[in-house]
Amino acid sequence: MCAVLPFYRDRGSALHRLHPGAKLALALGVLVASLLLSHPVYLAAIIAGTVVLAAGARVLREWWAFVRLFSLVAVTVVAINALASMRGETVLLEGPTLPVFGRLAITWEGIAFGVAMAMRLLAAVSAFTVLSLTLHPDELTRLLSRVAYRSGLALSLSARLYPVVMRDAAAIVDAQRSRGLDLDSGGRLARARKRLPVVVPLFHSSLERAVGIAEAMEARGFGSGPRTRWRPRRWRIIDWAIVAFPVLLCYTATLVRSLDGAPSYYPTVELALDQFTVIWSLALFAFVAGPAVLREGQPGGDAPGR
Amino acid sequence: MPLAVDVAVRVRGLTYTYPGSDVPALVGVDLEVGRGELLLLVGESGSGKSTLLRALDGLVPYYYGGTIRGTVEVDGLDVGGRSVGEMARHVGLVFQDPDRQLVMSRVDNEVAFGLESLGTAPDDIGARVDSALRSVGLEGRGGDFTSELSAGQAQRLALASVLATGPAVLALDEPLSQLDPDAAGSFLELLERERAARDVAVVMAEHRVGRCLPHADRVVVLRGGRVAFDGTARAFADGAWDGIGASVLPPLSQAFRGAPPVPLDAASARERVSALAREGRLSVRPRAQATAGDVLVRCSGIRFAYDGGAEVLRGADLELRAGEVLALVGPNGAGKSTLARHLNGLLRPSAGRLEVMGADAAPRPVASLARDVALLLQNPGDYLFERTVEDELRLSARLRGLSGAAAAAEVARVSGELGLEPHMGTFSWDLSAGQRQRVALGALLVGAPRVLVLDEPTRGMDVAHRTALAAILRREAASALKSVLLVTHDVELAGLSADRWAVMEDGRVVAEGGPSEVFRDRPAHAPVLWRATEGFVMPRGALCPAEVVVRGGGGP
Repeated sequence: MCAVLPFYRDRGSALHRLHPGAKLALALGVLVASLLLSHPVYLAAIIAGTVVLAAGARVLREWWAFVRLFSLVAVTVVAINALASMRGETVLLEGPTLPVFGRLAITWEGIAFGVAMAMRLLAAVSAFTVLSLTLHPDELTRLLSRVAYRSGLALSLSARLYPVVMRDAAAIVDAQRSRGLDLDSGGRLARARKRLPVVVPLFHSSLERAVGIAEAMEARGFGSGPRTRWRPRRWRIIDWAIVAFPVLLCYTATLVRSLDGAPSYYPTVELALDQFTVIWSLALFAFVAGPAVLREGQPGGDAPGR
Repeated sequence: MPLAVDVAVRVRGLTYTYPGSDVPALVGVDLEVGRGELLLLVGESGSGKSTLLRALDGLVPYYYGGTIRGTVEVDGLDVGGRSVGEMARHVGLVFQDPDRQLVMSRVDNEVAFGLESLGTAPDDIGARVDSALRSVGLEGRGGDFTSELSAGQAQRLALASVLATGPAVLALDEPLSQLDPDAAGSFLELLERERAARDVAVVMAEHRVGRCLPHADRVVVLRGGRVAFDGTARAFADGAWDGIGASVLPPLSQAFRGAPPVPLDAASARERVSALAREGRLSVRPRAQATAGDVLVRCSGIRFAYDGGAEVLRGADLELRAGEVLALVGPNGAGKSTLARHLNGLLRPSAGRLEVMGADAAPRPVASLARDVALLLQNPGDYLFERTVEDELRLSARLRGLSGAAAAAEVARVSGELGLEPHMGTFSWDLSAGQRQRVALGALLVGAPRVLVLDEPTRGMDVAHRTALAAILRREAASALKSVLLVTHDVELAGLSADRWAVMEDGRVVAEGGPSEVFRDRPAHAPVLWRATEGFVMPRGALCPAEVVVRGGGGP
């Protein structure tokens, strides 16, 4: 059950040992670049880069477990766009004419645009999955503690309690089945609806726990005065060097966008495709995947979580 | 008046009422605790123990609100008018549930959290974290996830986290309640060592009085928010004081109250028993033995592994017979809870066979098996989601296919048997843990299933609750001819209620039978009175205080 959300895995890779800020920069770089670009080839290059990152951090299996789930969402994006977009020229399938919406039609352009949007989403989700798998929740707290300690703590507490809540939920399902509630029969929807009662005890126990933790924090002096920070993470040269990659990535993406212009999907798909496309794609791929080349032998620094 | 140097806590005339309550939780409490002293706080659930502990660092009243009178001084400081944060330097509070007090994900960061909050110089934190982890035996575990620790380790981490800030007073709120006997033992030893080494005053509320008494210097009994007794551990154990029922006394006190001084542990109890037996003053009057009836559940050669893991059950055999209470005991990880979850089909064996009411259980879904086998798991709140207690029981009746007058009669029968009538209109979540458990038990007993299985039903419950539960279990077995399986670490609960014992080790039932057959090789599973009396008295060792008869008495 715990495998549903990408949760930190301690694989001790060089990526794991980067400054949390540097890891965050990598993910943000991918996000910005994929927002700037909408050419499927470029987006594919970026996605391929994140796969290499996941492999470099030795979290490929966990990465795939989540991204595979997410690809369902991506398919839905494509389908909805294909159905809802009415502006394409190349009609593949014509439907009835509806009031307000007008003529329903599935167009090649609608599908192509949907695919590009799904890829954009996938690139960002993929990068943040890698981040989530390599960023220790305590690191997140410490990272955010400069800006907003309490929000950071809230985030990291939810990360800490996630497995606990999952365990609670499993125990509640066991208890209710033991009462004789039939949670197993019926279709997927019926089964989901039958599990609604689980929410009541889960809500109560989570609430009781939240109050308990708040009390325990208070009792340990939380919020009583200025905090000190143990083992503050220092930026090493390697961390700065790594940040160069997302910077270059965003710079390239901006450059590509200004040179190529945004690709146009409507009324007909017009995508630039020449030797420059290939060169730019390789550059984008390299700037995403580059940090994965880091090896343990290189100046690594502290263990994760510090 | 300045505080004497050796007094760490002084409470005077403390009266406190929670907001929205008419009844004060504490009434005129006076209390002193010296440095290096261990004070055991005893009392039933709701007697004010937790409230008193929280008054030591100002959580009561600053976190909870309410009205307070009287004074609390800790480490020479008046708690009134100081913030909880300020008192956090002087009082280390440890709560009962590790999941409700650990904040960080990493073990060493958890210890550092309190130090950082109190503004400790960053250069000092590392050394303090290391030394605190070392003193609780968690050295080298600093990089682990707190969620991967066992309950015992998590509780030691919570202790390390407060020790690291160097408090003058440790306030522990039922720290053993979630721990098995081994983990509880090592926690107590740790506490003993640290309080001597650091000269710290310890105030500990606990229900496992017998366990803690040998470590305690003094005992304070709270009842209804008032101090009912304040004296040495010895005076408490002898039970020669007014105004207290037997319900808070440990088993040895209940048995030897008539012949003081009461021994505090099994070893000294054996010496007393030997002397009393020589004088012919001691005998055991065994309770009525159940006559076991038909086999209602039969496990043969059950094997099971959680997905991808090693085998937890490796050929477990067990028979549950009508009319008897069977105690299933054994170390952590032996597979007891896993086996219990097989009996109503929550888990299915990978090999072996389960028979329920004489027929193969494999084809029956959980909802059907639940009509024959009621399984009460550890957290009773998990069973409850209707609005009121009555609604819960009515839902159970509906699930059993009862309606109209039949349903009403069944609900009335169960609520009568379990004493739930006064609570029928109450929202289940407003009840205490013990009451919630009784409601969950009621929800399971509607429709009269023949088999009742309970997994660690006394974890975190008080002594009075244990006694009442034991009575319910014996009645269910004897008069309703049910078969009761009690999975527990609580050897005293088993002593009060079981007819037969089965020991699980390493995924198999390795011993089973009456107390004498099982305990001789495995005395760790025996109630303290059995360990004290076995071999000295006939016909067998005593299982609970009611079986021990001391004649003559008086004492010097």
